[in-house]
Amino acid sequence: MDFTALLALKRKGFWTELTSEIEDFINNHSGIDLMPLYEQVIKGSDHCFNRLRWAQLINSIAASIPDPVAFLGSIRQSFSEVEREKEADAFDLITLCLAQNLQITNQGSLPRTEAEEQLFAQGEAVHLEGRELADRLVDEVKTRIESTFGIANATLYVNLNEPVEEPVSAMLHLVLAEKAQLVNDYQSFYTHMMQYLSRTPLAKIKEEKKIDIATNLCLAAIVCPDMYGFGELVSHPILASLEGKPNAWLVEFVKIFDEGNITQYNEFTSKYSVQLQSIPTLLNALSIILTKIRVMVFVSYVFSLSSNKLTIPFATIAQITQIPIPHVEILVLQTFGSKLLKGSIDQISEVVVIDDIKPRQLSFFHVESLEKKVATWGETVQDSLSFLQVQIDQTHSSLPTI
Amino acid sequence: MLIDEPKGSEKVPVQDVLTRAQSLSQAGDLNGVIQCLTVAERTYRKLQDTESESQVLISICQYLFDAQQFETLNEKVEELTKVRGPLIVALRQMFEHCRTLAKSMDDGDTKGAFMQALRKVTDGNVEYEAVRIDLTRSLSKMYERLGRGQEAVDVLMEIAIETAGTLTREDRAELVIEQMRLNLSIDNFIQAGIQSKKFPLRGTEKYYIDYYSQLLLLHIHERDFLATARDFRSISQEAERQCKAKDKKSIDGKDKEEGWKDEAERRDFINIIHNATTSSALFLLITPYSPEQNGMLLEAVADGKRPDAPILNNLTQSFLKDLLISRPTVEQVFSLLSTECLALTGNIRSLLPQLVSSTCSSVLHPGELSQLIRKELLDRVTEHDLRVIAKFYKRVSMKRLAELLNSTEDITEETVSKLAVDGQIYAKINRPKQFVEFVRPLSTDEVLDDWSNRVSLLLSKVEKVSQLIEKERITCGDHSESSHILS
Repeated sequence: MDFTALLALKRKGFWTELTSEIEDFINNHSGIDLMPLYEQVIKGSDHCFNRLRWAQLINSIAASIPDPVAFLGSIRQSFSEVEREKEADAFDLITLCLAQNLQITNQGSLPRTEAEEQLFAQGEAVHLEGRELADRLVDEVKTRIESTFGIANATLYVNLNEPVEEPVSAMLHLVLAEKAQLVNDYQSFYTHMMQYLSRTPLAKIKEEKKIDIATNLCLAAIVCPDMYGFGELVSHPILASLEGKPNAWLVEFVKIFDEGNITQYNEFTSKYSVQLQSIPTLLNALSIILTKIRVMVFVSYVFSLSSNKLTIPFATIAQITQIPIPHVEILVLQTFGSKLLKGSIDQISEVVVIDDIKPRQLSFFHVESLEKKVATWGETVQDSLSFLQVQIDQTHSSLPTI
Repeated sequence: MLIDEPKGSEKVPVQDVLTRAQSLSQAGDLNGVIQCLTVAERTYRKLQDTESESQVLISICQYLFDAQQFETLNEKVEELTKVRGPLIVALRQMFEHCRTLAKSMDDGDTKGAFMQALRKVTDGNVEYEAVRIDLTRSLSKMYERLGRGQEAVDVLMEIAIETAGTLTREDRAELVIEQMRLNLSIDNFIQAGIQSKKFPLRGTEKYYIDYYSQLLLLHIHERDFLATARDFRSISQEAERQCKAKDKKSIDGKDKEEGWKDEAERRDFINIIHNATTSSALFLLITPYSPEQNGMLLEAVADGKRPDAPILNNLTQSFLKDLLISRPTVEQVFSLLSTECLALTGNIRSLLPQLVSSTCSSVLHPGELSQLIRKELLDRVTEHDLRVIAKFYKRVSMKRLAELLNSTEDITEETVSKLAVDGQIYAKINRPKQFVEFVRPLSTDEVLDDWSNRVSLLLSKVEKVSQLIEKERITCGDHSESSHILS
C-alpha cells in the first residue's frame, strides 16, 4: 500500500482533505487488512481530525482487521474522561461499533487500563463476556442519546445539549436491530432497521449488506404477528436492491401482502413452494402468515369500499378471504383487536359495520385505488352539480318575470 | 468469722468470699455456700458495690445450677430480686447470666419452669426488658421445638411490640416476623394480620424478604391475589437489590465476607428472584380485572427485565391485547407453564427458603392451591375474552357467545351478568330471543352531542384541507384561481 500522497497531506496539515482522501482510500481498498493505514497515517495525530469523521474511519478500519474487538477496545480506552464528555458523539460511535462486534462474536472482553481498574473498583463488572458487555455498552449510549432527545428532558435541555449526530443514532439503531436479530425479535428488528435506514443514505451501505437487510426486513414483516404496515416497506427504496437477485420473489410476496390479494397469494405459494420451504423462519410461522394475509385481504377490501357501503355481511367476508363463515368473526375480532379497523359486529343479523380504518402509509397500489375513488367522487359531484344546474335553470325559468 | 458477722461498713474483698464458697462447695456443703454468699450479698448491697455484688449473685446462681437444684434456684432468684434497695445493674448481670444458663439446658419442663420464673421476676421493669424479651423468644422457640405451637404463640404474644421502648427497629422487625410466623403456623390468621400491621417498614429493608414471605401466606389465605402479587414483587425487588449489593461487594474486594460465599449461594439467590418474579406475574394474572391490576400488568411488561419465562410472558402480554385468548390454548400450556412458574403447582413452600419449614397447613396444601390457581386463571381468561367481545360486538346470540367462550350457556350468562354488575362491560340480555346486546343505547343528549362533535370535526378537517390546498397552490405559483377558493 502506498501512503505517500496521504503522508504528504498530513505533513502539510490539510486535515479535512486528508480525511476525504483516507475515506476514498478505504473505499478503493475493500477486503484488505487496513491496519497499516492506521499505524502509519492516523495514529499519533488522532486529535487533529474531525472526531466524528475520525471515528467513522476507525470503524471502517476495524471492519477490515481480524480482531476488531481488541483494536476498538484500545481505541475506546484512549479517550480520557474529559474527551468522553466533550467528544461524546465520536466516543459513542466507537462504543457502538465495539458493541456490534462483541455481540456478533459473543466473545472477548476488554483489556483493563487504569481508568477501567477504577471503574472495576467501584463495583462495575468490566470483564463481561461478549453479549452481556455489548448490552451494557449499548445501554449506556442509549441512555445518553435518550437524555438528549428524551421527552422528559426535552424542556430542560432545549438548546443546552448539542444534538446527537445522525451517524451515531443510525449506528445505535443498527446495533439494536442486529441484537434483535440475534434473539429472533422480529418486531424490534423491523422498527430499528427502518430507523437505521431513515438515518443512513442508501448509497453508503454496501451492496451485499443491502441485500441482506432487504431480505431480513421482508421476512420480519411477513413473520411478525403484530406488524401490518406493509405500505412503508413496499415503497422503501431498499427493496430495489433485491431486483434480479435470487431472493427477488420476497419482494413480490410482500407486495401481495400489501395489496391483500388472496388469489395471488395462493398462486404465489404454489409457484414458489420450493423457495418458501427453504426458509425455516417462514415455515415455522405458517399459521401467522395465513392469518396475516387474511387480515390484509379484509382490510384492503374495506379500504376499497365506498363510504356508503361499510356494512359488510359475513358471507362476503367469508368469500373474499376464503374461509368458512363461522371463522369470520374470529378474523374480524383479530382485525379489530390489532386496531387496524374500528367497528362492531352484529352476530344476529350477521353483518360487520366498519366505522374507521387506521391511517397507514399507502403504497402505489393503494394510491391508485384511492385515485379511482377520488375520480368516482369527482364524477358524482359533477353529476350533482349538473343536476343542480338544471334545477336552478328550471326554477329560474319558472319564476315570474318582473 | 468475718464473713458470717460483717461489721458495719467494713469491706471484705470479693475474691475471699468466692474462695471460701468454693472450699465449702468442695466439702459438699451447698447450704453453707448459699448462706455464706447470701450474707456477702447483703453486705455488698448495703455498700452499693455493684461489681462485687454482681459476682456474688452470679456465683449463687451458678452453684445452685451446678447442683441441679432448680426449684431452689427459682426461689432464690425471686428472693434476690425482692430485696430492699436492689442494685439494678448487678441484678441485670445476674439475669443475663441466668439466661445463658437456661439456654444451655436441655429442652423440657424444667427449662420451661426456670425460664418462666426468670420471666416472672423480670416483668415490669424497663431495665430488664431486653433480657425478658430474649428469654421469651427462646422459651417460645423451645415450645415450638417441642411441638407445643399454641403455648409458643401464647408466650411470644405476651410481648407488646408497641410499648417495648428498648427495642431497635431491627429487633422489632424480627419480632413481628416471628410472631406472624408462629400465628400462621397455628392458622391464627386474624392475629397474624394484626401483627403484620406493626412491622416497621422504614429502615428495615433487609427483613423485607422474610416479612413479605409471611405476609403472602396471609394474603393467599384471604384470597387477595393482588396483595399476594405485590408481596412477591416486593420480595423480588428486595432480593434483586441485595443481589446487586452482594455482587458489588464480591467484586469490590473490600468487604469480601459480605459478598457471596460461593457460586451456589448466588445461584440460590437468583432462584429466589426468578421464583418471586414469576409468582408475582402469575398472581397478577389471576387477580380480577381492576385499573390497578391492569397498571401493574403494564408495568410488569414494560419492565423489560423479565425472567426467562417466555410462555408466562406471552400470556401476560396477551392479557393486555384486545385479542381472544380462549381457554383451550391456556389449558394446553398449563404443563409448560408449571415448569416455568413453580407457583402454578401450588407448592408455595418450594418457592422461597423462608417458607420451606412453614406449617401453615390451610394455605399450603399444594393440590388445592394448584386447583384454585388454575380455575381462577381460566376464569380470568373467560372474563378477558368477554371484555374483548363486548368491545367489538353489537349483538350476539347466547349460543354463539358460549361457543366463543368455550363454556355452557348457563355459565356464560352468569359471567356476563357478573361483569355487567361490576361495571366492566355494558350488557343487556334478551332472554326470550336468546341474545346479548353490548351497546348502550344513547340518550337524546348524547346523540346530539355526538352529532355536534362529528360536525365540528368535519368542519375542522375541511378547514385544514382547504388551507393545505391553498398552501400548495401558492407554493406551486398558480395564483389564477386562489380568489375562487377563498370565496
